[in-house]
Amino acid sequence: MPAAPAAASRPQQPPDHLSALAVASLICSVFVPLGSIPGIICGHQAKKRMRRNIFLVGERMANAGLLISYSVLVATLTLAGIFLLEHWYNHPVKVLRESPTALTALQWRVVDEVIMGENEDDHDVEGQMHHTTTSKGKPCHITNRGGSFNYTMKVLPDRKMTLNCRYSGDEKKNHEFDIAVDDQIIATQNLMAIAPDHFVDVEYKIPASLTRGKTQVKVEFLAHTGKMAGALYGCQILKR
Amino acid sequence: MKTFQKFSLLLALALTLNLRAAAGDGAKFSGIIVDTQGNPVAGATVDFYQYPVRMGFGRSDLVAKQHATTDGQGAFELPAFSGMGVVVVKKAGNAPVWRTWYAAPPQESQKIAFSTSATLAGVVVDEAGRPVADAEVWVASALNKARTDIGQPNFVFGNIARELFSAKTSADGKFRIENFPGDAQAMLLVKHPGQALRQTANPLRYDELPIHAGQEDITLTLDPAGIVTGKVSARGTDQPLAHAVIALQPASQMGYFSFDMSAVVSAADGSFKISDVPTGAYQVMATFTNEPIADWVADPVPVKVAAGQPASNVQIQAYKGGIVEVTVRGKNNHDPLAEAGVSVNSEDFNRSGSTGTNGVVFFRVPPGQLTVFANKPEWSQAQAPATVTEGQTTSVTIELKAAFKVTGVVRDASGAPVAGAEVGVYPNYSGLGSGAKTDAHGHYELSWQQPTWAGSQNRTFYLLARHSERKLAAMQEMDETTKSLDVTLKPAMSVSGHMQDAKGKPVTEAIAYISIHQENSSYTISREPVHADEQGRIQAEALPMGERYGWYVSAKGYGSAHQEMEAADPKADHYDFPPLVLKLADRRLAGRVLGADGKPAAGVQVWMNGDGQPNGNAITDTDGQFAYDAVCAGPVTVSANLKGAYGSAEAMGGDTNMVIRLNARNTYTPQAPQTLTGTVYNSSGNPAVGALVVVTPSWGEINTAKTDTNGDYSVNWQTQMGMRDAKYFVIARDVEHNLAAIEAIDTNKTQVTLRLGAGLSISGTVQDATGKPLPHANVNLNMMAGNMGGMVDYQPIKVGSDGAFTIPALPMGQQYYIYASAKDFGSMSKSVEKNQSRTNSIQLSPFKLKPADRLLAGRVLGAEGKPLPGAQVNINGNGQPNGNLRTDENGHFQFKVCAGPIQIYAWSQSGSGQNNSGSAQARGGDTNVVVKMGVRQQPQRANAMRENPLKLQPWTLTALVTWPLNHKTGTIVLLSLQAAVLLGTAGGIFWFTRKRG
Repeated sequence: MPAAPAAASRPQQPPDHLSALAVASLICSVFVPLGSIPGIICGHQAKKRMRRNIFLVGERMANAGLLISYSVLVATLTLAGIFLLEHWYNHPVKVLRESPTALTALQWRVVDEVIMGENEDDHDVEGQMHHTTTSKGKPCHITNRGGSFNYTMKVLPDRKMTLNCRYSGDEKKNHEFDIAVDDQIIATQNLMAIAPDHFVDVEYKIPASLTRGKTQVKVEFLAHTGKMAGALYGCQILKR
Repeated sequence: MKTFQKFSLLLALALTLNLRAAAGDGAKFSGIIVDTQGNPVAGATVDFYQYPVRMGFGRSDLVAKQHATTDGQGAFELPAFSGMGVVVVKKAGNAPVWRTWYAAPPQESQKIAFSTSATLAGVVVDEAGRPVADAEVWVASALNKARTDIGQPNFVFGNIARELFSAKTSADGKFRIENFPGDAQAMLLVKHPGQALRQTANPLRYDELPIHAGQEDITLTLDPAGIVTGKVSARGTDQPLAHAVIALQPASQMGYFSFDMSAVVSAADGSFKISDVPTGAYQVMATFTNEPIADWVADPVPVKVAAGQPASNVQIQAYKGGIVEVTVRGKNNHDPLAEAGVSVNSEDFNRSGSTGTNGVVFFRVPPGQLTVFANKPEWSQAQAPATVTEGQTTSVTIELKAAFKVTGVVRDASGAPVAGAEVGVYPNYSGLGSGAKTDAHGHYELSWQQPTWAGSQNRTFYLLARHSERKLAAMQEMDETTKSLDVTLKPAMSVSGHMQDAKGKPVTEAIAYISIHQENSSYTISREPVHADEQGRIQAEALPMGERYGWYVSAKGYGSAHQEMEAADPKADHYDFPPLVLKLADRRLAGRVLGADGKPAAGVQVWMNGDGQPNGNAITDTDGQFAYDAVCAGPVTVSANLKGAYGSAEAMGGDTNMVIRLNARNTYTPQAPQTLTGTVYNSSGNPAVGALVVVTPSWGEINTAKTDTNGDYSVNWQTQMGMRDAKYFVIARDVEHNLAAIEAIDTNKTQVTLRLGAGLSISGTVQDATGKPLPHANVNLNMMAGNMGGMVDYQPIKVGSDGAFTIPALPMGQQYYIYASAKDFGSMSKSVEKNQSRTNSIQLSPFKLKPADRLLAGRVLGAEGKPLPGAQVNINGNGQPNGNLRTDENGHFQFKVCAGPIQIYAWSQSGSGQNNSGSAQARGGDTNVVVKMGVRQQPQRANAMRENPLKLQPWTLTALVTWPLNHKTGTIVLLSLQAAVLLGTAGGIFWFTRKRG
């Protein structure tokens, strides 16, 4: 019985190889967002090697990996940009308002004000391990370690609001606390030597979503573990 | 000991009220004697006994005062009898009958009935069970159950009882006392040389005696008796002192008449001997009877008497001490008051006497701090501190106010007079004799007193009239100006409840004292206890409707408990308390008291108390040991006090090895009290009459004063322990006109003139979280004096039905703290700063109290990790109710608290007397909290303790990193998407390679 001559006479051709880098690119790309950079590098390397070696296959896979990776990279950078911008925008602003003129100039912005030792009760002061005392010659409100206190303060429903808090600028360590509006932390404050020898106002922007449609909010000061909240020498809700 | 205390109280009362007899107000006492069938008994002898006007020292006995014989109609009349007295009626063929009147002389004719005769019989044996012949057996005290004017049983005791009921044992040791009243109970004593009656368990109730009429199987066991010998001499010189009256006082629980000890007097060489003393621990007391001033004073000496063994030679060292000269005067005209009862008391020294015609009485006392207390029937009672120095005479003047008198007629709704209604003024500070019964015309007349101590000046008083049979009652507000007050009775309400033990068995011997809750405080309105029936049910009738009632329940062999209505219901005519479980007092509690030097401390007063526990006190023996025989399971606090050294320990019923260490650091040295006098003027310069004057800060019982018609005041005060550098202020307040004055004082000031100016009035309301008023809330106000808070008013602040309160006449420009709390709710405090208080009126925003509707439960572990029973647990937290309790036998605790964070502190004293403590943080609703001794859990970050943790600040790295943790669903969706992409990719690769291949 004769052998199969056709098969035996055909010239030998190296088999195609799937590019490992193309596979790596596609796999990296799906690990959002950290995989996008290696995904891009692997994709480009795969394509480069395919151009040199015609037996390497997987160009479509490399293209897919590159597409996904670039998309993810752009999205990540966009988000990071937005994040940094928001972070910068919402960062508290320290203002020294020690002159009567500076204080007067603020008055038109004031929507509500807590004056320590005077109208705290009108603002339903409540909390844990907190008290009003006098320090540096002025009444202030402070907590023990781990304590908290809060006030109910008026806001305007259709305006963006800022919370202005007055502190002593030369507190020692252990004055570290969160500031929250209606159960949402809007800032974390460490008062250690923020403005030595001065009383300093710190303005915190309140996200509009927390005041929109409301006439009052709960402003809360919550000490971190083993730390104190305050001393707070005054507190205002300002028009932004 | 309760028996001893109660009986002592009755005797003290008897002494006080007996003084009225000396006044000879001419009241007559008459009655009819009837037999068991109710027929008049002619020819019966009626003997009337009273204490001597001026009681001697040692144990006094009643003396015969009057004698009468009934006429043909069984009637008798005794002239000029008033005050406390005992009437004994005898007639051959009948058992003697007696009646005791502790307070007011009976106004109406008394019907006294003989009861059937009964026998008391039994045998007297020695410790080996052999009969004891020729022993004298007699009734030391007896009571019959007919109730007296103040609801107490009718007692007869001392020589009267011995003369009435006694017998000698025959050769077989048997005795038989005939003619004992069939409705009476007795305590028997036996006298036989060299032997003493074995002590049996102490009766827990003074109104129950161990032997009942008709009992013929009585066994009285005699033990070899001990002897106490000793000598009384002058300290330092050994000079023997004769004529000292020597008495033994049992150091532990023992009935008052449970052994016979006639007073013994020291001989010329100072020696004394007390024979036939039962085994046990005693205090040997020496009293000197010289008039008008005792020559010597001596401290009690503890002694332990062992069976058959003579006590070692007791040396009583008498010394001169100091003298207190007490003058008692009338407040209005400053005239001396004769025959006023006066007592001087310190921690371990008590003497009483009465003033002579010049209103003066002298006491020789040990040097140190004393409280002098004076009273007189128809007058108020008052007290004053005194500091006595060795060899010096200290003069104390006490002024008593004449008692107020009020008369009137009690009628029913139809206007008809009501006879037999009980009328009294409440709160009752006047002792037991302050009530009256209406006569046939509905008329009543009673006197009442307003005490001078703190918190009484602004107290609202009420006239309460009740007729139990007709179930009618009325309560009407009154004050010291009320001279005449007619009352119309209305249908009343009743309260009832079931008393049971832990197994649900009825406690038929339970008794309850009814209290009424008003003005944030409760006071008893029971002149006599209400007894449980055979089903353990207690029902009290004739209580004015619309009030909030409670009761204090106790029972022989059980602990005690208190219940109070949640709130008054104006329409309810009945209230049924939930079943009350009384714990069985079947455990012993014993231990030792050690001095600061670690050595056993003898003669130390030890007292115990605890939630649901019977109260009790004892004195340590020579080994510093003490014991209580009837204690309930569960935590109990035992405290000890000796000459200012103080110690306490927590224990559980059944502990018999507890140790109380008198801690030198706890030594309490009271500061010398001072008197501040002066005048208060109003703004126009005229004397301010009736202004309240108080010194603050102060804790505990303090003295407040009211200015008299000249605007003058005199107020006692003292600096507070542990409050160095504290600032003190004298405050005058005219509550009616909202005027106040304040002045800083120090210990050098003895006189301060105050001028009233405009005062500050602080108002507020107490509500629940929904805004509903809480009329039963408690409100307290503290003024910051320096860096300390002090009260300015010792009256509870009234909260109206709308939850509103007003605190008037406060000095302006001060810092105040106002604290509000309510049962089943949390608490809240608000402060008024100095700059806020410079005005006439402040309206605080509402105190909104959260409901205490959550359970907080857990256990306390010792340092070694084992459950710790009896540990003291205290909770607090902003807005939370304050509370403290003791852990149960398994170390568990449980509170009702509000939602939110709460701090738990626990502490206990170890067997060595060392204090251990631990703390933990929890939230309302936590039911598995563990507090470990020696571990103090730091307060957590406030956010972590919130009901709903705060949302993190957006646009922060923390928020970014923790986003997956806080957004689990989002994270799962994202991961799923990613997995889908991954699977898709893998599938794509598979498909691609297959195609290529």
